[in-house]
Amino acid sequence: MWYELQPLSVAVGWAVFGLVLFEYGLLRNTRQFRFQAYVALAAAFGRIFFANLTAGNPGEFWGPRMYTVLPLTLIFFFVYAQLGPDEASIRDDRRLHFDDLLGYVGTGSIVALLSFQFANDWLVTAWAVVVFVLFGVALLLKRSMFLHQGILLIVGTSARVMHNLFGASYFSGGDWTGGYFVLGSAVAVMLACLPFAFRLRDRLKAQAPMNRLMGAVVRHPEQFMFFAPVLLFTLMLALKMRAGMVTVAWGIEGALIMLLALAVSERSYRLTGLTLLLVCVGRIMVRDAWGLAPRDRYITFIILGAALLLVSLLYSKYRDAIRQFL
Amino acid sequence: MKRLAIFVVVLATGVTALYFSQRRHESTPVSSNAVVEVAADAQRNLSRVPMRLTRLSDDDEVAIGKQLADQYSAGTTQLSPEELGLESYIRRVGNNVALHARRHLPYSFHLLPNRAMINAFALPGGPVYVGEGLLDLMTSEDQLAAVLGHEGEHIDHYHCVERLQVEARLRKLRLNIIGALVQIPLTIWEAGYNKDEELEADREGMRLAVLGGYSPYCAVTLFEKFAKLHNEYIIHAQSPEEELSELTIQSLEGYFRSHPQPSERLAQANRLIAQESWQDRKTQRPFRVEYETRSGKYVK
Repeated sequence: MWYELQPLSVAVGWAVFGLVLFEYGLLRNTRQFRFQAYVALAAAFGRIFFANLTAGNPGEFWGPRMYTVLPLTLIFFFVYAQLGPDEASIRDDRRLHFDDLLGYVGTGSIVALLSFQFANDWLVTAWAVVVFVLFGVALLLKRSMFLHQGILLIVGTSARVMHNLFGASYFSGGDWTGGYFVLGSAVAVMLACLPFAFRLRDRLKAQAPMNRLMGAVVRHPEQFMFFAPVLLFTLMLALKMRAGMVTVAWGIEGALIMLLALAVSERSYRLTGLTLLLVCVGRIMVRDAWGLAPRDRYITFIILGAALLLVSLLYSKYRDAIRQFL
Repeated sequence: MKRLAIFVVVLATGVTALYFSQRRHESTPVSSNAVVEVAADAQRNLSRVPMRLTRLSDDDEVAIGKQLADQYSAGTTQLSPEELGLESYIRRVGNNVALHARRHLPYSFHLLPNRAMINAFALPGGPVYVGEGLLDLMTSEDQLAAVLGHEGEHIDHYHCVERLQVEARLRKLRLNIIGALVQIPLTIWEAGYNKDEELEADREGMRLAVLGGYSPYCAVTLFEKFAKLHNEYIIHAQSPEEELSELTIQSLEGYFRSHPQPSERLAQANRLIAQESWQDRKTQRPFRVEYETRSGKYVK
């Protein structure tokens, strides 16, 4: 195949061959055919980095990159789906973690495809959407591998946000889409994963404990899905807002976090909101009261005062609820 | 039955993709570009914050750049009068372009008298070097302005100094110690930057050239030439052996190792021209070096 096919087709050829081999191995219950199929599929995945991901012309959306990598992803996930926990005949395949390999290779191909398909700035939003889908799939299929992938990708997305926050030109200011819209949409998609994350946490609570480190990480997806976007949003406000408006923006963010914390009864969220409000108060006393232009100073005092009033009102109104999750 | 139907659909999708990829007339080069891009991107994203926090002052950058330039030029041959004429031409065009840079650094422009060198590079703090092989490809002064603008913007936008900082960190060098820079080889400057930085230098370099009174189409004609050369230069592999040799050739010295695909750069240049409404600035000045000759020989 490597000799006969075009460079662009080799990965697809190997994957189709792997698929047929896998089916044959499954049909005849022959382990060696299935194992060979896994090798062919893994090789196809590796191959896309050398021929498929950089194929096509600039600005071409439905180009050779898309129509060769997407079918590969489909094949990877199809094979992964056949390796379900109920199948006794493929126990060895699962023992050797070929199911995990296929699952990771499938998601990896999508993540890699998006990296080359989308403009650099929009990549964080695209990856955030993949995180959303992974969390949804983890909940729907009850397979924790997708949750692990989602957590890994949220870490990757957060690292990638450094490109949006610090990677822009040192001199070109950039427009509002570069400044707020792209990052704002990524943060919104990440926060949209919170309902999935809470339901996954509740499900994981009922399961047997796993090893300490993995357990701590995986059993609290709601913490990842909260702290990653909040941290990114706070950083974005600090870096992209006009200096005079940063305290105001953080104050509003702190009040919104408090509201969210009350809605979901989550202690860490509430403490984060409070910390942010306290930082704002400190910032006003140390910096804003002395350094800001009069107009910015008035706006800061009014909005932060309103935010603090709102929080104290909420505290007194929901005193009992707050006491429960202190 | 349901499983079989899904299998058939997946298989059919794979076979259809195979059919279309086989029918594609345009040949796809096999390269490690995707892997290199991912690695370079990751390195840049992770190093941006430390870079900002440990930024060298302009004065330090200039001093280090000068030291590097002295170090690299030690032992090089004296330029012939003809080459000196060419260098003074480069300097004139370069100074014209660098006037509009954002940072006011002592930019200097030099010729590398090597016809095999189809490349240009910059050092932190101001020095820019252009290979004679690259000049041989040029047909207009505007194209020279585009190249010098591009390299100047690598300096202006801190790409060079950030590379220096990364190298110093990787090699555990302290930049304030005299002689530490000896360990930084010239090849790291010739190797080019990541895709984002190269495209930024293209964009901003074009702006500099236009502000210097040159045509934005200089970059377009140059990239078209590069695209043509690129197609001739790369091997369109037909077998695994050819693919492996193609990957090896990509590691050899040359312009195409260190820069994004010319088609991508060309697309960006055309986008920028449309965005800035520069369509009417088509006229380019000829590449014309003025020499002084005495008794049929070139003199200074």
